[in-house]
Amino acid sequence: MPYSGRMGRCRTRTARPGPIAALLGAILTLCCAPANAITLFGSNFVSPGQQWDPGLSLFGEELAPRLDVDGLVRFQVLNQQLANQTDDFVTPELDLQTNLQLTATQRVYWLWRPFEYGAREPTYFHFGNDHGWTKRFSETPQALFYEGQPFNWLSPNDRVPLDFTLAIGRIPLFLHNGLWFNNFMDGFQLSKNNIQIGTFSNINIMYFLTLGEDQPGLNLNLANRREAEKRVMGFDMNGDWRNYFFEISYAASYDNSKLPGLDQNLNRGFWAVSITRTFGFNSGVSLRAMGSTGNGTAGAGELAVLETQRGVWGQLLYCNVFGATNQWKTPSVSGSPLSQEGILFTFDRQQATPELNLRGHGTVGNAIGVVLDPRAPITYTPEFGWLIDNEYTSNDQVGLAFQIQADLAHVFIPGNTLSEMVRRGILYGALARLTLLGVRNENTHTAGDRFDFGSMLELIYQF
Amino acid sequence: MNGQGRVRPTPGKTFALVASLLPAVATLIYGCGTTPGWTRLKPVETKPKPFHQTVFLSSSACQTCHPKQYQEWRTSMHSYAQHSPVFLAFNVYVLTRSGGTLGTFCDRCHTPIGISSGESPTLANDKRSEAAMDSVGCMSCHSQHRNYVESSGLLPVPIPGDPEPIIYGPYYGSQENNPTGDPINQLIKTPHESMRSGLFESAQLCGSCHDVFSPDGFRIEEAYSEWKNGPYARKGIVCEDCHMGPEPGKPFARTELTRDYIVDHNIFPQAPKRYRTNHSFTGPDYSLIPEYGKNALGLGNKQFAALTEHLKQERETLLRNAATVNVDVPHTVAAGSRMTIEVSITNSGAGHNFPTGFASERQVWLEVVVSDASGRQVYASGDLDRYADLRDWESEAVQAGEIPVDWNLTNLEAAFVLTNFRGTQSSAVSTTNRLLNPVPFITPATNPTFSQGFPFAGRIFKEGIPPLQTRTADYEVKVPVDAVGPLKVSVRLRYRNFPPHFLRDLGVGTLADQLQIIDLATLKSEVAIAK
Repeated sequence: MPYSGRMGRCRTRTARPGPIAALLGAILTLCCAPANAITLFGSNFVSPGQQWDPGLSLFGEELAPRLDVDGLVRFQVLNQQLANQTDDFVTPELDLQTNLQLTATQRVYWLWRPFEYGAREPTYFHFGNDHGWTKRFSETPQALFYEGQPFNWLSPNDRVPLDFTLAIGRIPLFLHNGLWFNNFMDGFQLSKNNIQIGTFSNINIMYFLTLGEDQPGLNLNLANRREAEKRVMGFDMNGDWRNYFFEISYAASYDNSKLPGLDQNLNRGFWAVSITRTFGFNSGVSLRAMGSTGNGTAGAGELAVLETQRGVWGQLLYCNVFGATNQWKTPSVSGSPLSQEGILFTFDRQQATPELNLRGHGTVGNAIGVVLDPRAPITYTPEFGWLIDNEYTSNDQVGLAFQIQADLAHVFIPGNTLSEMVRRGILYGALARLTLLGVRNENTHTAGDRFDFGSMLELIYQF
Repeated sequence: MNGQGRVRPTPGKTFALVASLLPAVATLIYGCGTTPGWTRLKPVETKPKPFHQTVFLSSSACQTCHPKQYQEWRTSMHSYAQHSPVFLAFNVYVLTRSGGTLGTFCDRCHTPIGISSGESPTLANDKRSEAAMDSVGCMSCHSQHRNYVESSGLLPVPIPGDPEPIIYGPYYGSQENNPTGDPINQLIKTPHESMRSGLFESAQLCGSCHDVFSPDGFRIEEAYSEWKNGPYARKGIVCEDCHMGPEPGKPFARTELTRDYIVDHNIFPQAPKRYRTNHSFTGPDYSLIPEYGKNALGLGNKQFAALTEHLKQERETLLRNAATVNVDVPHTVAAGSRMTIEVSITNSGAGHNFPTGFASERQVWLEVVVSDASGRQVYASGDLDRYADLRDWESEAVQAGEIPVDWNLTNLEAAFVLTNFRGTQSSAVSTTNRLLNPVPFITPATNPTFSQGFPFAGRIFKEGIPPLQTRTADYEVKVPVDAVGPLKVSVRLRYRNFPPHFLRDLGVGTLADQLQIIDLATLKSEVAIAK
């Protein structure tokens, strides 16, 4: 009976509630919660029970309010030699997600990461001579948006399809596998799904306008602030045709910043095209091309990416290749567009880790790896990657990575039956990940050649 | 990371205060752990719930006065929904692969009264109440009067112990004002309270379940949305017009129906004949349980066989009314040359995509076979492998290299497509994505998926043909130099409910033997070979 007597098993010492003890106590307490989103108000989230009907409507839809909280706790233990400096960190992370469901289509979503200022600015413990905690706290939400279909009531008999969706607030936007846009935007999105044109039956079109963006991991100098505060408006269209999935986007940015002092013109155009073909289970190919057009030479360039994945003998091979010109830019201010392309390119939002250059511009690179036994509770992924840097400050790289991921609940209580699932109970949601990284840098300029090494253990619990 | 230009709070005191409060808040929340919100998935119960006192809850209570509607419903897919072995297997599949975090999501539509009355999704069917095992019973629909369209089944229904529910339908209750003035639109005094709801003449009632969005943002089924964005909605032709009429797949107006008694005339001799709709809700699906409904209806073998045959004909009529096929072949072709066969499929009768429904479910494909006069097959597409699967990338025989993939296959089946570990995508049995997150965890969507169309973890790939649209497929056939004329061209548009590999993946592969392939259109032609 995994759902009974939980409190008795969880002992938290809070006699001297210093900040660290309190934090650990909070995390331990949360770890004891069942592995599912928690309903604080209204009908329970995906739970048995009657639906609450307050008898009210909002924009013609029945109001069915429900407040859920979910999130994750992550502990990252990192040992590394990066840029000839050895560091050891313990970095905790708490993500709290709150979803206020209003109607079938309308909701307000809030993501709060209290113990950090933003990406690469976490609360952490640093070992060494200057050991100690760096504590950070932010009350600013990472994401906060409303989304819904507020226009349906204008055509109550459905004669006109007014199922347009409006999303407004600080919104995560992720397009073209994060290569083109991968950030939280302040603004709104207006979209329409299920558009039927000829035999295209599944076309989604979205218009978006950003009034600014989150500033992940940026050195907030004047130029970067202007980049983050520039306005971007664009379209994204995607749909299925025959065996292909296509995604086409265009955006234009203009510099609305009132910040003085820089001559750089931020008025640019951005385009992107992605085509994906799947080949059954575990296999697929995506070809992506994108470019930016700027005034003069600043910000004008192209990126091409080929992503492939294939299941072979029960294993999962992947090979991703990319190449970009020097001035290629994304409409998003995010500095890590290649983060999805390989373990070696992964942007860790808490700490800088040994990595291949994941900004893309002026480089040609590749990541090739294999996920061994991808359906098993424990997976092993070796990866090899390289990158040739064609920019003036050339830093060619080659790297190796090895990652082990363990679904702890399945490791301790194996099996896929309902009774085993119920037995796993609150343990479900626990993930351990060990990542070993090694990167050789061959720098033709000031920094010289060097090796970067890192080992990172992550303990993650979703609730 | 200098943080210039950003105002930051002093971390010390604020941090300590908030961090100190967190355990208290967490404990307070946790202290509510006995509420259902915390124990979303209860352990399997060993005893059935005590049955209710509410009379009009179980569909059998409606049978006495509405025997015709009951008989139609009892063999419909609405009655079968929670009994379906494929659904049960799929539900277990996604529950176990999501650690149970998908919860009641699937059951909420398949047994609304059961889930609403507190039954766990892990409860075995033989432990469920009678009303729960009615699946989508009479009261699941006839208690509705508010517009919960696109709610994926999240709507209130009567549950055991509730006051006797008001029963809603298309006619005015005896106590209601009848603005039409026509007495046929007003009911006589009934044993239950009756009221009219306009929902029963709209698509929105059906759209409360037949537009399915998973909590994390997958658009799993969009029959209502497809209809809403198509020409039938603009003409005011709704779901009931095609699926509850005298001829499945042909829209009808209520007033075109032959009048019939909607209650047993022997019990209510004063009730006039009215327009009675067909409660078989004819769709393309059918029971894979032999003799489903036979005992409940008290039918003998012959009667049940006749009913089964009738239902099969209704189903096939619906499907054949949905599509038309045209084939264009040359009159003559030279030996050794290439011949082009052009086949067009038109969604001529379905108000939504053809096919529509749950992804990974319905297959509609073209079989094109060309043989020469000696009987030698010179071309084939849409044929089946030794496991009865199409020769696509999911075929085990293709994967094993036994046979070549059918590159020209025209298959309108939808599919779940998941974002992979590092870029690109591939198809999958369900939406639980272990490649991206080794611990798939269903929570409310973290991005605006209604706006962006799909979550980061994947999407639904759809090939269905929109209403009144035509899709054309070209087949290039290389005519052997020694082919004996004339060439015989056979084109069939074929349908079946599931691909067999899908059933095998769910662990119910033996059910594949009961799959029926229905030929919606068969066209044959001959092509002469020029010397």
